[in-house]
Amino acid sequence: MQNVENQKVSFRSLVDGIFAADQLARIRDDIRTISAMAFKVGAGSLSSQIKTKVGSSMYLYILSLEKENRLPAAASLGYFLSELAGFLEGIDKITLTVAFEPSLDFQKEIALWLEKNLGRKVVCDFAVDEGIIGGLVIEYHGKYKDFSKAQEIESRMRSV
Amino acid sequence: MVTLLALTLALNIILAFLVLIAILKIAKIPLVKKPESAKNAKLTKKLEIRLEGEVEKLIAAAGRRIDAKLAEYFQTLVDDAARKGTELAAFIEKAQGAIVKETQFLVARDIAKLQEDLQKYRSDKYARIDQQVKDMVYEIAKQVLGKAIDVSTHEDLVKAALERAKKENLLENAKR
Repeated sequence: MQNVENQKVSFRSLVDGIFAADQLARIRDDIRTISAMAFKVGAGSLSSQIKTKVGSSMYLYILSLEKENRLPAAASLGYFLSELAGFLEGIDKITLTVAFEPSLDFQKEIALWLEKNLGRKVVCDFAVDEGIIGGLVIEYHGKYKDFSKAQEIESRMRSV
Repeated sequence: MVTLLALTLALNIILAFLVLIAILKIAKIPLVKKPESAKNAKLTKKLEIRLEGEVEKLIAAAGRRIDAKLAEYFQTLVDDAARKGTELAAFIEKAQGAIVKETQFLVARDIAKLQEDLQKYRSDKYARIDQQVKDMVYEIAKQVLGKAIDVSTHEDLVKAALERAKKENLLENAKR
């Protein structure tokens, strides 16, 4: 049980710095890459083998596990990776449509705001549509809500 | 009409009888066997004269009756024709009145329908113009606002929208 909790804490440390859906997708790709490599015999540590093949988040994560001697042995690496993939599957994705190209800082700020208010890890998928003028359109768990200025103007026009 | 036929028949019988008498005279066949005596001849002559007188009276009376009946029938015909004429005039007048009334009703109905159609057409046109104006204003507002909003304002609008989503429990309801 302790091991499971430790593993979850470990997984969380990997996704702590992730706030965008495409970052999460990249980590999933990295897991597939590492899974494919895990069956090949290579020289040196796993981190050195994957350094040029995966993203920096995954590389640093594997490197930290190696340094702390927490990286599972080759025999159970596959199980570990599938557990990690399952953990990532459980992370919620919120699609946010905005009228401008959001900076990375702003994306992070919004993701953190959502995490704080939802009480769990989420990643945001930002889409840009200038037609909404301003504001936001949210899609979350099959729900869709339009908080855009375009919708606001349309509602007011309809009431005229 | 039956009476007229009966009178005509009686007149024909009388005429036939007279013709028979005339033929007998021409052929010198005595209608009544002449008495051999002079007295008988005189009596016969007298009888003939009397008979002729009676027949003439009968013919005259029949003629008068026929004339009277004919006059009566002609009068009836004239009266009928006059009455029919009056009835026809009344019918024509009534029909004319009905036609006028119907025409007036149809015209009034057509005018009402025309007014209704005109009103509907006008309403439709106004509604379409309204929609076009709204669309134009909407498009202009979109273009003007879209260009006027800077990044900082966009970010504030997004944050405000998230706060609204929170207030409307959109995020709360989605919590596991």
